[in-house]
Parts: sequence; structure tokens; C-alpha cells
Amino acid sequence: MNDERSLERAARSFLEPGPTRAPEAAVEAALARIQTIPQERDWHVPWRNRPMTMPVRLLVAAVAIAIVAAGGALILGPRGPGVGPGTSPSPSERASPSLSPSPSPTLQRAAAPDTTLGDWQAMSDVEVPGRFGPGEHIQLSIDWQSGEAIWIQTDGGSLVLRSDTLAAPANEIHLVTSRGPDAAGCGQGEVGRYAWSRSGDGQFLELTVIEDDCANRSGALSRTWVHSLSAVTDGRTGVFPFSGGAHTFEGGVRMTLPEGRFGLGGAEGLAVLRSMEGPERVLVAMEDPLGIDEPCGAIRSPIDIPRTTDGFVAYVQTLPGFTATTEAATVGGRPAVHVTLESNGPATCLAGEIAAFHGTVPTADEAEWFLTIAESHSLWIVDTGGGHTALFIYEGSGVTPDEERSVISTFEFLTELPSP
Amino acid sequence: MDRDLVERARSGDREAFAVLVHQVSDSLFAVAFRILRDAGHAEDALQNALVLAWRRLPHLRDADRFEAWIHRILVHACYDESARSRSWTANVRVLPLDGPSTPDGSAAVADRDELERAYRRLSLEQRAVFVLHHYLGLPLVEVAEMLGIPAGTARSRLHYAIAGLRDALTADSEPLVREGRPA
Repeated sequence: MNDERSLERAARSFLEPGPTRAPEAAVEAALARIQTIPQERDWHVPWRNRPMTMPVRLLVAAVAIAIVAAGGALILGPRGPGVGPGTSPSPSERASPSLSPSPSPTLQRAAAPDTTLGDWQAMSDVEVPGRFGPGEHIQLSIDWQSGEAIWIQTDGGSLVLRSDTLAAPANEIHLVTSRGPDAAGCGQGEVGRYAWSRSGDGQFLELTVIEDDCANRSGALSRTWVHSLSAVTDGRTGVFPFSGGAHTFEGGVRMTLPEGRFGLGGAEGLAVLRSMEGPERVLVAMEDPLGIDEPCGAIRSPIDIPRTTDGFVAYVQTLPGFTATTEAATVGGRPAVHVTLESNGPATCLAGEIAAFHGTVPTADEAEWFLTIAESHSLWIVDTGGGHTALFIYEGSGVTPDEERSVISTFEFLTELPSP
Repeated sequence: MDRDLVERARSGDREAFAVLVHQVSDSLFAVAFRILRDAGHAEDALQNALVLAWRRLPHLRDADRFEAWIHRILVHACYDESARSRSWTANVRVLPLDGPSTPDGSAAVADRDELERAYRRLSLEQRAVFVLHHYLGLPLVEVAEMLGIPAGTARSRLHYAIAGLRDALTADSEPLVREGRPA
């Protein structure tokens, strides 16, 4: 049986035996489970089809933003007390010119203001029976696509208090309970009116209830929310939902990005924020990055890199096609090494690229990060404590070295959500 | 696959989704079993895939791609199921499966046992490509598209899967295929 065809015949006959019908009980059990599970909103990011001009590229299929947006909440995980209704930002940004017409007694649908769209994080201090309770992390999403819906997502993945937005004065957001099983105690058609303001740096959104027929909604929404650099965001200051190996910084990474629309994507073990408009900017974060055994090989596997900055530097010095220079640095108050990779020869493998890194999960598909051999690259490896490292890359055709250093210098590793 | 059913399910119609599930569940389970080689794990992977598919259905761009899309979710559910039970590989029994009768029955059984052992040494990614290509009969290009991997990667995984099985039959049970993810 050493002939190719006979081997393939043997393979097919090997696969033939075995069940061909799904157990009815298993199917019915799954169908029973979905009766209480809502579908995710479609937060698909309309990635532009364009040539990849940045010197690095991620070999990932475009991942639906919703997956990472949901995962972002999970990455953040439980944390200590954060913002609450008693806090008050110093709003310097009031409502932008209204996208909405004047208040309407006929519950006219209208988008929420542009600057409120996206994801917002908070710690709950209220109980919504059966959904979440005090001390739990919750995420407010204001539909970035249409602006016409909001909902709260829990770490468990439940979507609750889904409401549609109504026409409102410029400094208010008006809501009406949507149809469906996600009302969490709100009656269909119940209306709520909220005043909103956003801090000047973009970091905080304060919602203050004016009146709401639904107590669960007003209890959950009326608070200061922290800007989350997840799903689709307008950049500026916010918290990147990246908690490091073993969740060493549970609050995520606070940073300040240029103003502009970014979308979060990636794969298991890495996160990628990518500009969706204007000059190309890409922020990559990998916790405890893995290396590649054969960076030039068509057949290759992830390999461990020692989880120290020295271990990382030793690995990158072995990458073919580059000369690495290093510089001691501090990122977010943690010891770090800034590694610059300069091309030292002609590109000879994988169409001029090498597979340099792999996200933390070795079995994750499409989690490889490629480097173009003919280009220089700038890497920041940070000792995040507890025997873990984090790799950050901020580059793209629109990123100057000054901007890169400026953005990296804003990093703060948080143990809990910030408050104003 | 009925496009209208998929569109209705995308819009939250659970009855439409149930109809779709009954149309695809046999194929999904058969694939899951052949990747995982364990009926219990295959059931769990199937259930998780169906629930995940329901949740993510609004993200499906092209209703005509539903079948490929849900098979991709199933394959990833198999990966997750295996990761959840890391001790599984060490604990599984090599079940004697009924194979086609041959003039030399004992040789066939021996071959099957060797194949079974070699198959279990393949990575799940290799098994997935192998099953989709050799069991469902999909061209490698479609397998690659279904799994969201480059065609070269699919070819590479299939090559190593076949090589691993060949080694099992041409040599003693020396494991020649690396564990993990070769491509």
C-alpha cells in the first residue's frame, strides 16, 4: 500500500465507516438552547478593498468585528470597582450639531449623535434580574453603523436592554424599547430620555437620565461610560481591551490614538486596530507572542519564545533578512525594549515576507504576523510582569516615527477601568 | 439550500433556523465524528457549532454560502472541543471499525489499526482538510475557502496528512508527523 492512489483509496475507505446521521437528541438540545439565545448584531466592518501598502500584514481573513468586540469584553474580564453613577466627568464636548430632527411626539426614529457611537465600558452598580448585577462588567454599544440602536452586552455574551434611538434635541438621546426577548424587564414601547456629554479627550461618555419609563434601563445606562477602543471607534483616548498574559492588567491598556475611525479585528491571542479612513495606521498587540520555527518555510509551526524581553530579542535576532538593533525603553511604566529591524539582504522567501510571529494560541488559524523583508520594522516588547510579555507594533503608511513614539508613550496598563 | 430560509433565519426566525439545522446536521455530525474520532465529542462540537451559528448568523454575508459557512464553524468547534479535553488523545480507545472485507482479512485489520493510530497522530487541522477533501469530496480550493486558509496551506496540510498515514503503513508505528500545526 505504498502507492499514492492505493493509499488515497485506503484513506477514503478508512473514513467511510462511522455514523452518518446526527443524534436527534443532540440536535434538539441545540435547538432548545437557541430559544433563549439572542443573535448577535451585525457589526460587520466594511473593510475597503485596497492593496496592502503597509510594511507588515496580518495573514488573517477579515474577522467579523462582532467576534472581537464580544471577545474584548471577555478579555477585560472581571475587575474592581470603576466608574459609577456618582462620578462626573468634566465634559468639554457637548452635543454635536444634531443628526436628529426636533423632538417628535410620534416617536420618529433617528440616529444617535456621531460622537456617541461605538462601545463603552463600565462596572454595573445595579441589578438587572437574571442578566447582570452589581460589580459586573458591562458594555454599552451604540450601533456605529446606523446609530439607531443601543444595547448592553454582558461578559457572558448576553445582549440586553436593546432599544431604538429616537429623534431628540442635540444634547439628548431618546430611546424606545425594541421588540424581542432582550428587553430585560422593559415593556415594548417604553421611552427613555437621557442627556449626554463626552469629555474633551473622548474618554468618557456621561449619560444622565431625564426620565425613563423603564427603571432597569435607567439604572443601567445612567452613568459615566469609558470609551472602548473596540468594534469601531473614533480613536482618541480610550481603553484597548487587551489584558496581557494571565490578565495581568485587567483594566486593559489606556492609550490615545489620532482621531479617526478604527476597527478592531484579529484572531485568538492577538488584537489589531486598523484605520478605516485616512492614512493607514495599524496597532497590533500580542500577549506572550509565539515565534515561528521556519519563518521562510512553506511548512512551519509556532514555537515558544521565552517570556522575557531578552528572550524576545534573542528570537528576533534569528529572523532571516533582518538586522536587529535594540534600545531600552519604558512603556506604560513597565520595562520594555524597542527593537528596530532593518533589512540586511534581498528578499528570498515567501514572496519577500517572513512569518515572524504567531498569536498566543498556537492552534489558532490565521494568527501569523508577517514582516516584509525589504522594509524596516519597529517592535515594542514589554515586560508586563508576572512572567509575561506583550508585543506592540504601531505602523502603517500613515504613521511617522514621531507619531509612533507619541502613541506608544500614552500607554497605561490598567488594573481597573479609569474614572474621570 | 433554501436561500429564503437562510434569510429568514438571519432575521431571527428560529423556526427557519430549525429547518436549516435538520438539513445540515447529519453532514455536520459525520464530519465532526471523522475529525474527532469520538461520538461524544462530535455531539458536543455539533451542538456548540449550531448554537454559535445561530448567534453569528446575522454576520453571514451571502446566504448562498450558508452550508460552507456552517461547516467552517463546525470545524472550529471541533478544534475547541479538542482543546477543552486535552487529555482526550491519551485516553481514547482505538475502536475496531468494520472495514471492507478483503481476501486477507487479518492484513486489512492490521492496516486499519495502523491507519487509526496514525490518523490520531495527525493534527486536527490536518484531519479537517483530509475529511473535507476525502469524505465530503470537496476540491482543495473549496476546502481552503471553507476553512478560510490559503489554498497552499490546505495542500500542505493534506500532503502531511497523507504522508503521516503512508508512514504508518510502510513503517512500524513510529510517529513521523509532528504534533501541532505544521501549516
